[in-house]
Amino acid sequence: MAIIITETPGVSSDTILTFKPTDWRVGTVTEVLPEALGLRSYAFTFDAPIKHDAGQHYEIRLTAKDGYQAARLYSAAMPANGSSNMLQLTIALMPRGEVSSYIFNNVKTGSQLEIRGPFGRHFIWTPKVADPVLLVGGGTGVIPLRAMRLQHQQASCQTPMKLLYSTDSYTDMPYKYELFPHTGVPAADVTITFTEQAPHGWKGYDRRIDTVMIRQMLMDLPKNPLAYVCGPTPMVETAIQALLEAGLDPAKIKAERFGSTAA
Amino acid sequence: MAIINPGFKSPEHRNRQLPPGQSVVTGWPVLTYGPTPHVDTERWVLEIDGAVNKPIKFDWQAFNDLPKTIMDTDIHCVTRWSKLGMHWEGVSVDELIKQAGGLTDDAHHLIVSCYGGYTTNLPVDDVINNQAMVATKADGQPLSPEHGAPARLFVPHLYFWKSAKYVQKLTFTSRDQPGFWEINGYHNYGDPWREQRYDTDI
Repeated sequence: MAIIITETPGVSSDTILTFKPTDWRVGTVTEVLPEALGLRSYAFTFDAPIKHDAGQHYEIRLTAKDGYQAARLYSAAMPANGSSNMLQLTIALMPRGEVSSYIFNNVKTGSQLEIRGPFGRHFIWTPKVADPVLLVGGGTGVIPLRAMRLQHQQASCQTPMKLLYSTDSYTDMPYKYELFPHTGVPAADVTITFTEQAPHGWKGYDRRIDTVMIRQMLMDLPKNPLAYVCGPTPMVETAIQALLEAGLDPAKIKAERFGSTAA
Repeated sequence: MAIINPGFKSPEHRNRQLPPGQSVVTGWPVLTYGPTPHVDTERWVLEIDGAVNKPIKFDWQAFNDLPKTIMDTDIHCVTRWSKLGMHWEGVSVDELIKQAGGLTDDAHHLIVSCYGGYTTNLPVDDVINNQAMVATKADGQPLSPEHGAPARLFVPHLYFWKSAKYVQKLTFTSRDQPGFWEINGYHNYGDPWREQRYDTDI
């Protein structure tokens, strides 16, 4: 009887084991997708497969001619199970951001960047998670949650997962084609609130995330869900406070915050 | 060997005091893995136990009656930001050890437990000799809830996840015991100058 070894074209099995997350690898930009104003998804192709859990992040490092280096962390925007050499990162243009502004101004299809990862084993979702899941995102905090939602879909999980997403406006919103497709209504598992400008004729939420919204989301899920909250610090604090008031166990709330306090 | 990114330039005033791979921030980013614990100073207790001669507990008043120490220093977060020139105030770990009757011979590691469930671990050698404190103030202000109120460990020569917020208990042990981030992919020691960020860094 013949033994058939199936391999991904162009990938030998030993290269899979060659890399550690901390090794810098060269990724070539194969696609640049504008998501919203100041927000783009970059697809990078590597010479070996990409594998991570949804919610994990990567680092991009830039090097100047004089050796100066700067690196930043970016959450993976899509799941990757090792069947492809592609990594998608969604990158926000930060005011005075030396890495993001370089990427927005200089990085095009064919550009090469040094990337390493994946990192982080706390803010992750895998199909092994047996609990129902509530995802709560604000602004670009939706990026790792989007990867979780896609991985959940790809795994055909029966445990429900719902997303509550707070965005300034339709214009500012990434992944419209998935979260708010052409029919003009959000996907069935997605609840959106527009905090500054709602689309014309919008009948849904149009305020910051609050206790009422969180309670409604929890009512639509089985008891004791796991919650993943990601966004600007004040939004994360508000959402977590509401989850705690609704009786959720603090141990079942995972958070990722961004932004600073004043001092 | 890094690839050179054409057109990427070093900042005009490149900061030489920064550990490798860090960038300066002017604000103060907030990172906490879960809910922010809100710890009332009426109920707050700090406990020193394990390999000490006289395990001891302090309430908020007793803790604040201890001699204070200050540290003027920079802080470095593994997520690649550094905040320069901060002024910190608290009680040195040396003083807390003294209050607990000194360490016993088998005290080699410090396991830090926090309100909210966070833990971290450090070698004893890194928290003695005025290298660490339990801090209550930063830049002249009491710590805010986001930054660890009412008190956090402060060990500025290591990545800042070691400076555990909402500190509740310092346990000295003979054996090491990796804490929350140390079992979730981050380095066991976390020296910013050697870029010990992740668990596979040397």
